Amino acid sequence: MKNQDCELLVDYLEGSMAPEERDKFEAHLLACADCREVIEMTGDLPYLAEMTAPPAEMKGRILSAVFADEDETGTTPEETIVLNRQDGTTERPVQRSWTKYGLAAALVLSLLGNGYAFLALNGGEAVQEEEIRSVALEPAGAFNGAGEASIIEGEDGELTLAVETSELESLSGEQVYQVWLIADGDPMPAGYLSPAEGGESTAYFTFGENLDSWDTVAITLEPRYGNELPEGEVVLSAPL
Amino acid sequence: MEKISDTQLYSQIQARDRAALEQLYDRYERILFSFLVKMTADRELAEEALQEVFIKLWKGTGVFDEGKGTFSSWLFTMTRNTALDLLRKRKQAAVPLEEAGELVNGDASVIEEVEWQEKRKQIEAAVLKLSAEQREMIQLFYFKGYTHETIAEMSGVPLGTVKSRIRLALGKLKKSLHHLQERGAAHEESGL
Repeated sequence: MKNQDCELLVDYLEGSMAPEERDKFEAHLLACADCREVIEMTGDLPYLAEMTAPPAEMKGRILSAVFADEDETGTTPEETIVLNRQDGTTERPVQRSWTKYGLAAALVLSLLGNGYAFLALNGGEAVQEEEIRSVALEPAGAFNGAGEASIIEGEDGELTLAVETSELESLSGEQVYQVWLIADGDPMPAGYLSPAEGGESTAYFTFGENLDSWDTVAITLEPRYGNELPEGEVVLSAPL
Repeated sequence: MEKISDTQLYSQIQARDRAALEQLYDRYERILFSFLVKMTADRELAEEALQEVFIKLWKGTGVFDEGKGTFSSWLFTMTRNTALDLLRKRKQAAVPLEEAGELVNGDASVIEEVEWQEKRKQIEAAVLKLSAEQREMIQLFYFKGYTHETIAEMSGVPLGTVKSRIRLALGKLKKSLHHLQERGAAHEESGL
């Protein structure tokens, strides 16, 4: 029996549905044997692949990566942030390390202090939002300062980037710390940090519903407000 | 000793049993790696995707629900989606459209594992019942990770048409495969 929901089968298999749409389609699957059978059939398609012998050391590499992940913190070897800047340079080597995200609520909430829950005002009522990712920002070179970035999903599915920093070096003149979301080297301005005494500052930036394309969050030290592309140095960053 | 089922292994993995994860890894390494190499045409990317899949399994990202189908089907879908995410992050499909290649590769002699060989034979037979256009749809959409939008753009065919062609191709493949499987089962029962 075909209905409108069956039309969404292709979108479902593309894996591109928003979580609510996917839930709705999965509810449809329980009632629609036809769609269910097609999806089940796709489980046979991988056998069309030519058998490829896996590299002998791959198992060791993968399992150690999986179990290393358990420690919740880890460091990558050296990686490179690719960031297209005003002056035309595109690469900026940064030693990265990160806090594994997503699992422990305690870890996730540590960003804003124990027991803190994100609250948003909605018609006068406090609405709890869900933090879906949290990463520690790593200072570049000898920069003094620390911070964490987290992604919060609102009830409407909108995502907000929250960046909280501490011990940032103080600014002079018109300087400002600017937050960027980066997708494959292309930065999008995502807020400013103006540290008060003690170097603490928090920025919030709502950027839509799709996190997938953003791979990095970075903070630069800019000579002034309003830059559309980074001009200054990256001081803190983390992969998302 | 009776072979422990995938679902049992999955439950043990949820209970943080490392040996269970390793067992599941051994069970699926070859098919998942082969599938990923076919999708990405890149062994390094295939390994990266496979690692991501097992990290997701270990972290419990995405939950298998028996009500939604078999474990292997769920695992293959999760694997495919993981590869698609990686490919999209790199803003590339695996290979250019014109190099997408044939879906059915006649060189079956390299296939050692009996189960694989049998399954593959059956699926190939079902695929051969599709029209060339339907085969291409499945090749591009399922294996090469092109979205229906991309296929529409590249082939100049309207979006809605591409979407229904993919659905029809998958639907027909499902029917042919069921038919072949039923026939195979009947042959087995009759001892033919």
